[in-house]
Amino acid sequence: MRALFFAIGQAFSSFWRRSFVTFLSIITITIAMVILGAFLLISLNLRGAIGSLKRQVQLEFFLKDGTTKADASSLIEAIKGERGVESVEFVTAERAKIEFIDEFGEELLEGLKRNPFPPSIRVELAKDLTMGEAVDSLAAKFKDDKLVEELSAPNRIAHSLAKASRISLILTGLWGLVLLIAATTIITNTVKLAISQRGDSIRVMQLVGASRNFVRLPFLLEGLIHGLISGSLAWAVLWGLSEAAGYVLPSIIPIPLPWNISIVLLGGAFGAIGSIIALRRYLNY
Amino acid sequence: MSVLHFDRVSKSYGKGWIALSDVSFAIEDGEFAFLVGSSGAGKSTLLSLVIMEQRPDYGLVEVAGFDSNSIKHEQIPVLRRKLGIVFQDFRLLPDMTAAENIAFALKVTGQPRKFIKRRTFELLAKMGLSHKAKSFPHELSGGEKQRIAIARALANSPLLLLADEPTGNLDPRATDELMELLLEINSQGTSILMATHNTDLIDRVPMRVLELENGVLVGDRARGAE
Repeated sequence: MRALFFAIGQAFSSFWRRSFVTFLSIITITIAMVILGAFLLISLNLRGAIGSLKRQVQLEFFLKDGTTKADASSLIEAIKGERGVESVEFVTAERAKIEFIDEFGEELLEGLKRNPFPPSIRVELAKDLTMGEAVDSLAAKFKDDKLVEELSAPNRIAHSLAKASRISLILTGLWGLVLLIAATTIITNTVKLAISQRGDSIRVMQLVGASRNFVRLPFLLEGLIHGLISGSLAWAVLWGLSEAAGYVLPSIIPIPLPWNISIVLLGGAFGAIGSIIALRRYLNY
Repeated sequence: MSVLHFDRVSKSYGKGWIALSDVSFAIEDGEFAFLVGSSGAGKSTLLSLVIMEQRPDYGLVEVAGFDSNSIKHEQIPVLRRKLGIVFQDFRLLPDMTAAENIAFALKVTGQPRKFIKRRTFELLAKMGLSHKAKSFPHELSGGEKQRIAIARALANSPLLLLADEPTGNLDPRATDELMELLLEINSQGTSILMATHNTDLIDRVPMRVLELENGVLVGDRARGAE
């Protein structure tokens, strides 16, 4: 317990006594964390944008006039059972008319004696990478059903979106990996540099009989504190960035709170692990 | 009873460089001995074997109840707490004040806070440096730094004080003062092994002299012998 109190005291006093190195270390780790976080923000919004486009991709089976929900129930159940289907909705002719009036006004329908809209089944698709295949498969299976009059199937859009999703997933994955490796390297090297300046001190500590853990603990805590402060600063910078971007792009998706907390914790983990790695070189026993 | 015993110790580095060859000697409780020899004679290797920084290739080093054959890694800090080590370049912790440097040696042994404070100020007073308690190493003179280093080495009442060229960076006056201090420490029962180049000092202080040459112990003159 005394060793822990000593370590805490040392970690904080080093903060002030080595303020310049501490400042540089925190700034470097913050920059690395901001780059990682900015990547997160961009990929999150890219995925969000593709996702909202996908939501607009809907398959609609227009049914023969007079078909009721009861008549179409077996068809609805069959569609629901298909892979890649998220939800299925029966739209009556009356609702289709109301939706049309809501969107385009009543004038266009004036003079028509009967409701021109057929009942339909709207199919919302799962927003995954197989969207294109799902559209093809549903169209092939159900377009010739006896209740189906016509089919609106956005095959090309669905295929293009699925392809865009695949490409963005691969690119963001690779980019993320590269950035993660770069951030890890920058952070561990920054901590290493800060510790290498105290290589002689570490040796002296060991010469006067300090155990491995006694030497290691203050550095570990120092790395952890630097990392947590950097993570918090990165969080603040990213919040500012997403707020500023919100003025230009109001639909921007901010980084969710759990991810923000992860950035802070990741900073702390980077700092602590960096310290352990850097110390290995100096600890003889 | 001996606090340090080298029994036919040999140590070499790489191919053909023999740092120590078949060295045997013992330092008894309360004894003072100089270790002399030119650069590369093996003095530093010998001292590093005493603190178990290295292990011998052949032979056995016994120090303060531990021996080089059976000591475990985790016991090395325990051994070092029984030794006091003083270097030519002082090796004070630059981020700590004079008092903190001394207290550090006590903190690593897990001593109670009150004891650490009392012992630290006792040692500062003994070294005549109470007024420098809050000074950082860069604010101290060479002689003052060496006194703080000695105070740190004495903090845990060591069985053996190892001094590696402690006067190397000091002027003649500071050297004399330091020598007086070491002799006083020795008169109180602490064994001392002091490596030095200073032949004038060896001539003036009639203590045992161990002489190394090319890794071989070529001389072992008893106290006061010419």
